[in-house]
Amino acid sequence: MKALSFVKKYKILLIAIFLVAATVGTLVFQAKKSEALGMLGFGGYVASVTVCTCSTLPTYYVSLGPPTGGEFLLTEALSEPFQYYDIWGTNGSFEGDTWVNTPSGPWLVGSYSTGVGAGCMMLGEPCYSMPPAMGTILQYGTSLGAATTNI
Amino acid sequence: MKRYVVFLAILCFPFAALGATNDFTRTLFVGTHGEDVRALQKFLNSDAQTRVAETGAGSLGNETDYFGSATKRALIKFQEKYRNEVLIPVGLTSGTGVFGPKTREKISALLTSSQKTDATALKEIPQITTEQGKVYLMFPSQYSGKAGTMITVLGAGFTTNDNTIYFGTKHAVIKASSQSGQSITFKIPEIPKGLYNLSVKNARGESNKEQWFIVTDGVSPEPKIEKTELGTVSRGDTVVIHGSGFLKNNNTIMVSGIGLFENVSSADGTSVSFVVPQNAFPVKFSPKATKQSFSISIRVLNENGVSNMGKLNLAL
Repeated sequence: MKALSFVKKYKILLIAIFLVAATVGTLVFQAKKSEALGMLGFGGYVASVTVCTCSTLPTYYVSLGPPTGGEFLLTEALSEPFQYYDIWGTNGSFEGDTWVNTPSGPWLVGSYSTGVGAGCMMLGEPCYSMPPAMGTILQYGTSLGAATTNI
Repeated sequence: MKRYVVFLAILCFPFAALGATNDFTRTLFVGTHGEDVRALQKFLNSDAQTRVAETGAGSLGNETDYFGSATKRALIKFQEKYRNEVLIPVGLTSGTGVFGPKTREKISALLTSSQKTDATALKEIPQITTEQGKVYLMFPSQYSGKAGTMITVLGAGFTTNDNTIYFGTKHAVIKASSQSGQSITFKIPEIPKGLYNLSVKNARGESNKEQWFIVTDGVSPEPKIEKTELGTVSRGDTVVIHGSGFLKNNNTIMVSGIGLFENVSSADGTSVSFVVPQNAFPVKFSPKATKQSFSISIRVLNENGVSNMGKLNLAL
């Protein structure tokens, strides 16, 4: 009874506190969600791009040089481009299923996560997996390729 | 009763503020004020072809909440750039400078598509660590522009205030600052028009030099691809790109994942073409792969700038 009369008396104030808490809670949750996804930064020039020819979804195994290089997966369904979206560049060539840039390709920078995405499967009898990548790219931007062959 | 009304009004304020200013819901025109005007200016400034102003109020980073004649002019450029979707459906051929339903629809569609290229997006990337003595220049926010235009370059290893940005070997912007160590915003110097290699030098060292920029004169029209969805082609097909601003000679077609087609001519200035090589993307997919083609991006560049992106589907 005391609780009920308390609620009645401070009804407006309680509603206000609830709404503010819900707003702040939502914002904090979004920030925590990014942390939970383990979004990490990466950036380097594209040394090579291997087409995952036996993966169900369009997936590429991207090998990057420094500063923060390594092997990353780019899956069209998961990786969101925000700038130029040119992972190939214009001064490379294919060696089998892999596009190799010489001397270096476009720059690729963005964020990746270690907790999402499948691996890179290559066509074979049977299909086989590429070595594990550092993670799956979530957002990425690229530079444009070379503008002239006279670099 | 009055106290409750005031209290509820104060309570609603944060929710109004949280409402995204990118939600365009009203018609805007000369004389209008509001955060949606500021958002519109930011959007227009994200494209070098529709900048509100090059310097001062309304320029990139200095957007205001007032819709004036500069905003109107920039909006007209936007409407005429997307004439087919914004003007022609309502029986117009020239931009009006009024931010009405069709223009609102087009901008909202562009904002929600994956083709955002504004410099703000560059700042959202988590920190990239670099070793001492290493500087990297990765890419500029745009690849062409006239002297005086503000641009941003993204990289790593930039120092707080002693970065020198080189345009080729003879021209530079000195004492450029970087708060984050990963981006530098500066004004394009007054140098002759042309293609320049970009690099950055500071106390940590000197960057790579393969990034480039075309300084334009701001007068000659930049190349533009009109029909950006170029369809599906196969190896050996001829691809014709329709647009404007193509020179009689010395156009370069950049085809991602294939290469450069240099010294391409354009008899009428409105089309260029190339042949898809027989060895393009020599990849074989498993039958269970959901996609059996490649999306390829294409741009045209010449001494007057770089075009927008065209997209091609290469069927295998």
